[in-house]
Amino acid sequence: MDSVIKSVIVYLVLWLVIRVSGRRTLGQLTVFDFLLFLIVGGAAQRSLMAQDYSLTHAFLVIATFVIIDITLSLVEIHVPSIGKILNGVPTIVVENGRVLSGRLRRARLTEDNVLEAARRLHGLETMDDIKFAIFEASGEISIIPQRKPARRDRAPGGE
Amino acid sequence: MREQDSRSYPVREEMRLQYAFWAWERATWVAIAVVVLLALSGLFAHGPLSKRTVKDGALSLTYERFQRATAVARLAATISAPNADEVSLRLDPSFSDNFQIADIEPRPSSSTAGPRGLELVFRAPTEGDLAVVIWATPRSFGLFDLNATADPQGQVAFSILVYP
Repeated sequence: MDSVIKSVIVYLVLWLVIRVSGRRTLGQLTVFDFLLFLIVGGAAQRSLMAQDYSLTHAFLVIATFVIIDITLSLVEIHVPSIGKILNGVPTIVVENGRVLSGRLRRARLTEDNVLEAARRLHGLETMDDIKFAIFEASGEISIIPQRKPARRDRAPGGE
Repeated sequence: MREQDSRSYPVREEMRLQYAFWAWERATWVAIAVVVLLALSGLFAHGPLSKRTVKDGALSLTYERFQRATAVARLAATISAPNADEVSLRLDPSFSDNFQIADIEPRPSSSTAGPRGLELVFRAPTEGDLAVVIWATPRSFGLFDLNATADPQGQVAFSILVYP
């Protein structure tokens, strides 16, 4: 019984920690974020296993995690409002080249993060080249470029 | 359109939900910071808030009033017995039921366990007080009311809260 209860508690705590640490940590793992997850995972594993390394206990922990995961995914499908709370919603952070700075700050992103995504995904150079930058629920930044190049001095072959 | 307003293109935004989440996120950061500060103060074991000393007669007992299940903790007893050959310390049955002793320093010259609890008998030191350290691990979580009695003199009651 305690294997299942412990697993549920650890799952909820891990979900809370990862959720409040921000979507930023999911989409763009820095070295520090990676270390954080490594340590969190190790601590959770130790507290879950305690002194019981039996196959039965390990199986019960895994089964509980899988069941919670499946249950949550079913809830997300059937009750979309809960899905939005669990996973978050997409947020526009750049609109027609204009940075929505309040949103960017609250999401703990910088203009550099947006420009980096713009360069990486579409080879864009400035904010003016971006029609929309969307901070997705997955933690990634999607970029929709302006249809026409905003700058006339763009090099040939650029997007 | 203001920054706080929800856009419907290119994605359908829910900015009320998003702002509520950001507020909840920040409140949770504060709560986690408070938990860390409380941990530093010893509320979750091993710290100034946790360490407590109780005295009665010749017996002085220092213990961790906050402990964690399966984590070893220190219980230190000082018994003053200037003219005795032997000194004993008795821990009530509740202690044996809920704690597993890992080590006792110094080793008792004899020990018995019965309905009155665990009785440890030590040779008295040639000078000064007898200092006994018991390392014990809580078997489960909960609040435990315990008693320790020293011979020749002293009886203390103490409570230990064990976190899961």
